[in-house]
Amino acid sequence: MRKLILAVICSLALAGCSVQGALDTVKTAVTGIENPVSKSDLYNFENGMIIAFAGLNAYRQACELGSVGASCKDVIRQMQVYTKRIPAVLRTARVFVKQNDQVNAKVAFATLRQLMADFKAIASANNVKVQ
Amino acid sequence: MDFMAILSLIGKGLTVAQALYEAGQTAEPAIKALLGVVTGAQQGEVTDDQLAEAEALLDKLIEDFNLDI
Repeated sequence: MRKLILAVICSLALAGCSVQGALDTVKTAVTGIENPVSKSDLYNFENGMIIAFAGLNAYRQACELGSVGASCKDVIRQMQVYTKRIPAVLRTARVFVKQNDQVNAKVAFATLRQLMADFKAIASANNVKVQ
Repeated sequence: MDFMAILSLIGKGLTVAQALYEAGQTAEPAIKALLGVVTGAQQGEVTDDQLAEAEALLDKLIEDFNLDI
């Protein structure tokens, strides 16, 4: 039943749903790794982020086509303040995981968690639906 | 990542994939990532090639989103 409701919500507010699902996916991917020590953990995290950014890119594309509110470009620019910091942190996290440097890997993932919280706050403040 | 977290990730990934499909956009990256999650969970360990492929795809998606708008 919940899935059915979710599907209806998605069909009514597609772009918002994409972002909401995407952000939830990142949250699951990041918070699911309390001890990011193995390559498998990193692989699952990377896949979670792939799903999330596929959704964010769909929102961006809908914005460029004018399918969502005019303020969407500002929302995206505000999100980019944080998403532009992700690649550098991600590269660091990858190195630490592959070197099995658990202490620094945890620090890197904590930074990713904070970036996620920051751009989720931007989405919420701009009425982009976020659970 | 524990089993429940993987299930949750798959469920949310399906939601995103469905939204992409219904919007007429390609859901291929999301579906590929979901297959990766399932495969990784089945195998227990991933190969360096699998990891490198996921990393390349993610880097491209982040780069695309971060382009000036």
